[in-house]
Amino acid sequence: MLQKKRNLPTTLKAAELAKADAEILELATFSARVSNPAIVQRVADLVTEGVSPQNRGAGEYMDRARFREKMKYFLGSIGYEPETGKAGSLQDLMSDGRLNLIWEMNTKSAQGFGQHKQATTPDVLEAFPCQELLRVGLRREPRPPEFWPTRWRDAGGKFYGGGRMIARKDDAVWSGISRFGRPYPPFDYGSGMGLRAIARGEAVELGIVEWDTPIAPPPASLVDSLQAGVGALSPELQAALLKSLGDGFEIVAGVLGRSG
Amino acid sequence: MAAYGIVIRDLGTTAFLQALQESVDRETFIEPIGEAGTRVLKDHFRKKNLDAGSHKSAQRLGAQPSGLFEQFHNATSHQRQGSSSVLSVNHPAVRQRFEGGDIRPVNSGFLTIPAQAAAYGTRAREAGITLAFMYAPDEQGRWRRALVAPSAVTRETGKARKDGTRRRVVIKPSGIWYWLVRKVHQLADPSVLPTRTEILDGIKTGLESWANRILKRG
Repeated sequence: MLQKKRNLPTTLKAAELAKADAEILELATFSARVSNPAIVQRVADLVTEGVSPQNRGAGEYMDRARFREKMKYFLGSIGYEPETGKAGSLQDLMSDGRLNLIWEMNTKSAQGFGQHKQATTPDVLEAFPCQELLRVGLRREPRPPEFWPTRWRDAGGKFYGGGRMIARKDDAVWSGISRFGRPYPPFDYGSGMGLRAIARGEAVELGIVEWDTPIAPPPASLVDSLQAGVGALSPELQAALLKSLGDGFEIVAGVLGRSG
Repeated sequence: MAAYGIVIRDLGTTAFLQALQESVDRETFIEPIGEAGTRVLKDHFRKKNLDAGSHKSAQRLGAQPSGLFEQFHNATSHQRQGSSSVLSVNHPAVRQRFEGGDIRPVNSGFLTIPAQAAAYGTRAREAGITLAFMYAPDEQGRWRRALVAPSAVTRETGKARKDGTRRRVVIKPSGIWYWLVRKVHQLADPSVLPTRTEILDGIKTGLESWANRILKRG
């Protein structure tokens, strides 16, 4: 997924990005308010190393601490300075908090997308038509216990056997519970919630599906259609993409690039 | 070059898997076997992560756990290779934890072992505080090589007082940040992964009722 992504610099704030179409977010290795393409590219390169640690020698693998170290070195080398009064805050690209967030969001998004693709092939959908939302990671300051059940209910989700949050994989609830509109984790910043596949037999027992209920594979995402070019997107989606990127971008003959 | 993830290719077989592999629908079962296998791995990592015993170092220092087993969970996947499924955990730490062995420094003379919560999960080079090499006594009174912060890092906060000064809070504490060691020997921990039997049983549990319906149809 990371190799197919385009690095699309953007000056949208995180809140604005979260509202953008989910597929636009899939398109970009994003980091809110970063408009320097060299920085965005460096993030993508380092995150790619992190999600593919095979064939790395001792001391060469990428993790969150090494990512921070390398990004700080890189940012220092290009003369980066935070805005006045923002040093050390989340608006400071060199702060631990900001770099940790960039690392967590990009690696988890790539992993979540990859597991989502594997979980939604036709054969896997036959055997595991549903999935369950449950806690995977502990947090020192977790959200209130009712937070996720409330979000689940508000998105149209149902509860089974003692409050289990289970739904068909093609249910809109998965995009509905996501702050980013994606049907796979992470579903929010810093979230420790994940997914567990539910076998067809159990799903039938719970009354969610029948033995022969088909589950629709997800539509091809922008990431999958990149090789066909942006021109394959609908005019509305092209307009939404340009709007989310702000000034400085244009689509010419189906190819997205910088203006001028 | 060493691979730092773990790949599980040959789980062995059971009567159940053999029946799937010999059926006319064997192609249909390849990816579901992979998905069932990764579900076993992910269940295992989730339970380990939620188990307090997996966070001893962080608890001892009063630090935020690194969430290593959550990372293993997120890094687990399966791939189809020919007529079989391969399970993998694409994380640099999983092999070391599973197989154990000596950990030695690569780009410096010493490994840095966190001595307080502020150092946990942070490399010495990016600690953001002046660290000096010195010998310091540990809890047993033994003098050991260490990186020590002679002074804390503070910042001003709150409203200004009448004299113009503001309250200062510590954001990075002074004291011993890291112990320096030449190497660490990590014992092998087979509990990092489920056993092959657990994986095979989990695959059967996950697929049995669905697969048997298909086998009966064929």
